[in-house]
Amino acid sequence: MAGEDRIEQLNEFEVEVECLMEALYLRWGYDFREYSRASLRRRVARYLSDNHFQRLSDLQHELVRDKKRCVHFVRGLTVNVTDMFRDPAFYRVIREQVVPELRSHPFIKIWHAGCSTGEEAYSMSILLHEEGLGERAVIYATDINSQVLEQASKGVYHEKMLVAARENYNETGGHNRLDDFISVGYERFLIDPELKKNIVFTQHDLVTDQVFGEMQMVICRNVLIYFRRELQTKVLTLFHNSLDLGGFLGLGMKESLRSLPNSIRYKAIDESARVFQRVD
Amino acid sequence: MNQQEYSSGLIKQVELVVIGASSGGLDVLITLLQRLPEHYLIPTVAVLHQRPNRSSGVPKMLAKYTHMQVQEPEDKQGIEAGNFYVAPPNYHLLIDSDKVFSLSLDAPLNYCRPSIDMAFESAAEAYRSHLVGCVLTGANSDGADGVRYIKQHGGYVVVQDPGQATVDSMPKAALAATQVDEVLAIEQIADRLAQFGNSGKGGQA
Repeated sequence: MAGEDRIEQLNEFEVEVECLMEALYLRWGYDFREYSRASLRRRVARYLSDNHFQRLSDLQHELVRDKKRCVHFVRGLTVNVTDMFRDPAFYRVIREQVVPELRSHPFIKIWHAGCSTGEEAYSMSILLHEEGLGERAVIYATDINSQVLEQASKGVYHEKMLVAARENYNETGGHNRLDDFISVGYERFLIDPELKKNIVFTQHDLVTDQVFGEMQMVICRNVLIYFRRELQTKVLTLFHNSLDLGGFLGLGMKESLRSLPNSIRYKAIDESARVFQRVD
Repeated sequence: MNQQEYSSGLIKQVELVVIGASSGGLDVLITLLQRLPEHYLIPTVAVLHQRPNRSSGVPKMLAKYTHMQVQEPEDKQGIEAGNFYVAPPNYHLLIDSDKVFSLSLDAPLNYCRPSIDMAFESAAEAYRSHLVGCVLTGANSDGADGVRYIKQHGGYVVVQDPGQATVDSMPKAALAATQVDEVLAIEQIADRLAQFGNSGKGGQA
């Protein structure tokens, strides 16, 4: 019996994680049921020990009763790592191969899904301004996590990130200096408010929310890695439906289109930089 | 050598080998690959601590010494016989229960990303008693929790002889963490893996 096999495969903790994910969905609508288990279980285990819970069932008891605790927990389940111009090779391809095609559009809409604390959305805004497209572009930067969006909309980052940010910027083939777009002081750096004007930060859950229509580009980097293949397929289909024909899709450096349904095709603009173009 | 020499009773068919190495790891991996016979096909995953470079030359370098396909796996890539996988720098490499790779940018664990412990633990959950874990030379204790977890899940653990390792902290930490199955020199580890390959369906291909 299939059921018997499955029981053999899961230990006590693994079973409790399954129950918890079901409970969070039923109670609050947070849907982690199709997240990759290997990393999810580790994050749950870490949350337990960091917050001094002896048993997962104790945590579950609280999470279904206390919304605030649940928001805190959800924040612990999502990974928020990003940098200005993270993976410069990606931005170089955008600059050299995508921007020339975007120029033909009178109005450019870009969806940055899973923008976390916003560094990469600002990076894109800098790049578009440099290329003279800032005035006619809007970047919709979304994340499941409202706390990181709050941080993102401020556009203030710690100075310790600046060395890497400057290096990355220079590697993207920029015509200026990163410092032309930021002001530095009090151990922080602040993104030029002018660059914020065309970014809309808003909450969006890729698992439960809908299409963002008629985009010229969708960027979603290092988010799909936390999803199982079935959910990747669903989200890649969502991106496809959000893109104009000829629109571009940018993924993380170790992500691929292997979960794409057979009916959908993309052309690789640059395979190693993970930039693709919708062709049908 | 024959099957009776395995130290801890019945070994189920080995479906995956996971290897953790740090300082001095590249050299021992080369020795290992050179010694594995051509019919060795068990999919093998090496988690090697590297500088977080954007691209790593390690797979290209290792490929010179083996008939196996050496590659850095992409997210959700399936695990297949005949492949030698190297964890990409700056990502954690995990294995999901449906036997595909899953990458993660979770914070470094004990300063390590990729973390050997995380790779071993997820592999143990996915492969249970069909897993062999090896800890080789290295200057920290990454892998110690991982091998304990592999043993708890019925897998087989081989540790490089600390006396032979370039840096002995990692093998010693693994030995202190759990009752391992064997402590061997790298050449013998290669021979043992080859033997596992022979006894499984992988070796008959």
